[in-house]
Amino acid sequence: MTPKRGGVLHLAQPSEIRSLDPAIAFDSFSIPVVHLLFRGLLDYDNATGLVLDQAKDWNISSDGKIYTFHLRSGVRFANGREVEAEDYVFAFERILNPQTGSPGETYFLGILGAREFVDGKAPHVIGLRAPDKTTLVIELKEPQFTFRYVLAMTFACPVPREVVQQYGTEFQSHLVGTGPYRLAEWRRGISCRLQRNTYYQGPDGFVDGVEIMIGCDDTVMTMMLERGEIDQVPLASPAQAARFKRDPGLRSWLTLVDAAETDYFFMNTEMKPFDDAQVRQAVNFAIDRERLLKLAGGFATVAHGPVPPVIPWSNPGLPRYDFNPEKARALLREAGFPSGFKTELWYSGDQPIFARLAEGVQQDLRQVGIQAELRPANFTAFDAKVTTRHQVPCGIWGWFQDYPDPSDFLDVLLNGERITENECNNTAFYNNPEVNRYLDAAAKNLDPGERTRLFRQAENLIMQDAPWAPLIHEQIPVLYHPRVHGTEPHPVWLWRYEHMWLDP
Amino acid sequence: MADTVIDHPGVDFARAGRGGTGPAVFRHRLVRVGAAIVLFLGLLALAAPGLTRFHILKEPIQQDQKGLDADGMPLPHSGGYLLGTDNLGRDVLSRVIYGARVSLTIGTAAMLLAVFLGLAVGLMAGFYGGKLDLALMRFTEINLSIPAILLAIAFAGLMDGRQLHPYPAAWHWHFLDLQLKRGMVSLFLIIGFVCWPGMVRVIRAQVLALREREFVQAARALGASDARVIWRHILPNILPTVLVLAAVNTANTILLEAGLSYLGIGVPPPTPTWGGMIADGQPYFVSAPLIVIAPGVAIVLTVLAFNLIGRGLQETLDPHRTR
Repeated sequence: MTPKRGGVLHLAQPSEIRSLDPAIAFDSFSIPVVHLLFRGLLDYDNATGLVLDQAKDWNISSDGKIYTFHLRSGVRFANGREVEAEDYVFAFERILNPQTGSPGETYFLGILGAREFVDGKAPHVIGLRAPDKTTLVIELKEPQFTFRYVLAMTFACPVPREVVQQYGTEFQSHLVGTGPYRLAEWRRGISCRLQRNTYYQGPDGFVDGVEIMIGCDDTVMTMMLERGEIDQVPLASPAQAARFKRDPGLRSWLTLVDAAETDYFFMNTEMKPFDDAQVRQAVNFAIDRERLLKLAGGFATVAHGPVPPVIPWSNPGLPRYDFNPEKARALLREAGFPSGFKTELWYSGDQPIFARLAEGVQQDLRQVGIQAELRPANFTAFDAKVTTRHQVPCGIWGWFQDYPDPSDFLDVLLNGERITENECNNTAFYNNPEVNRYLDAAAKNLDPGERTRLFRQAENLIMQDAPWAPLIHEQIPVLYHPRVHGTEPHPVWLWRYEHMWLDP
Repeated sequence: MADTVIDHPGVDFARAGRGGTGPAVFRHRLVRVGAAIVLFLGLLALAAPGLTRFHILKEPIQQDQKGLDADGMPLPHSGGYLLGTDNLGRDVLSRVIYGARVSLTIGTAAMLLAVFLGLAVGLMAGFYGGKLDLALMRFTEINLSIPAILLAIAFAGLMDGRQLHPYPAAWHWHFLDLQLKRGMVSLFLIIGFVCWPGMVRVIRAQVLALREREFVQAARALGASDARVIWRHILPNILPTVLVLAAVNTANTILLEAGLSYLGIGVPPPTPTWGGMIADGQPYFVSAPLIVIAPGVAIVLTVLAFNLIGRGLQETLDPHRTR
């Protein structure tokens, strides 16, 4: 079927859109909307391959440090002004400026001179240059393979400097970007309306407008969908999704998006008794992942390692821990815990899936004699607690990819050199120098084949040491009204409103 | 000195009401219905572990392999599960019965704490009057001005597992270390601490009136100490009021416990609580309504029972009240 233009896409969100400013927005639900308003140098194809978006060519120097982009001519902001390379320099410096408070800051710290700029020691980032209006040069401190993915994140979209300077923090309400749509109206907490950006020349954007209703709960959204009042329910609860799955008339409304994420049980390798690898392996054998799958309403796949297969990633040599409580008990005996032990299992009670997994894991551990007391906390308290050293013996958390590369899981979450006293993403505080060496080598290496080999070696060692018991990779149940087409899930964007079109 | 020589006009429980045998309060129809419900739930709660041991009742925290259908959805009423299963495949009936243990224990303990605090403050304020009265009553009113549930949520927020070291760091008195965490004990303390102000005014008013009565004046004239006057003369006379307040207050504490559990800040899982069961079961209301209805009915019944007892007590014990 050829896509048709026209119509208005009606969407709904459970709570206020946190932000649509590309420097600030960082949650799975805002980003697909931000991607309607703002576009940058690179985008993804239908999978995880990078394609040019608003640049006409790009080149990476042989040492992997210098990225040169030539911008497409005639690309204009929604206010009609032509985009210049300086707008990119401005946008990147805005992300790095601590006053912006951008959660994307760390991704750009690899640029030469970024650290000095952040610390206020330099007025500009020397690694960001615009020799002429259509040429952008980015110089990195050292080669970093994943920087190309950073340039495809919505953080890296250009913003018109005169508009940002005029409105300051109020840019939020006067968003101007280079995407297929522009912000027409945003009534806070009520609704948000997007219209075509008449200056946009790219291929995307079939519907004439997008309307987002704010503040509908899951049940209300599902009812509205069935009445044809909205076109999508972005994150249906397992209960609702199961109803659609079972009803032959409604089954085609349900789309399962394989999320590039991993829910895992981390064990603090610096705290007793999890400082013993045998104990951690025992835990891995004790967990019945197939059963957890059922607790997740069936909307998940079993995780055997930290890296989700959506990335795309496979590691045939990965040590597997298939459910084997006998072996778990034997390992515990060998480790000197014949009758198990007591511990505390922390998780964020705000997320129902983590509560289910926590209770599921607790029961599996009880079968082998490990008494884990559940410690639910609200997300802020949980986050503060588990990222602080020597605080939490074990817990459950999930990590959603930023970009489709194994390093986003292995390096970010399990590299021992990244351990800090506070705000540490390596919640297992796992530090194996050999793993660190592989990960550091992979970060600088530019050869995809060699990188895969290094990541596999690292992942194998990690699963031998077992600082985590990987649990499941979630699937996001999304409901669409049958009049909507172009709803194919995407491994990075999850869904692309810019590709959706409606029956006339 | 001999025991008090002046008979005071307190209520005689055995003689109140309309004649007949047995303590009069239990002859009141409302009290009997309420007490029967509470007794039934209490016995069930007490017997629950025994019933589980003899496999009459399932383990309330056991996630059964067969407790979820192929799609991971809870089962409705079916063979092995009288009230179906919950979202993790656990027996709802067993969880409701075990939930009574939590609700009744916390409700009663919190009520006792609230009554104790309310009595202490009300007695002091009413009996001593003056500046003490002024200070205590303003303090009570400040407490009253904050909704109990908000205060309870704030306290519960402090129970985030933090360690308290209530001694100078150099002393290393680690036996005093205290971990603030959510559980039965912390929850009953929180609820007790937020429920007492409601009682103070009533108690104080009664004490104020009693303080001026002849038998109290007489006891004082005979040289009885404050403690003796309070213990022998005031307390017995406000006891009926306190009993009524206690019964009604138990309904409130149980409701508060259910509310906090519903919000996810009650006793942590997997301990079954009625409020928590409702919260977990909400998404399944259409497909498996019993998950929500069963604990809901349990809450309604319990709260109703305590309110009936309170109402009945009030009618029986209050000599001024006409029916």
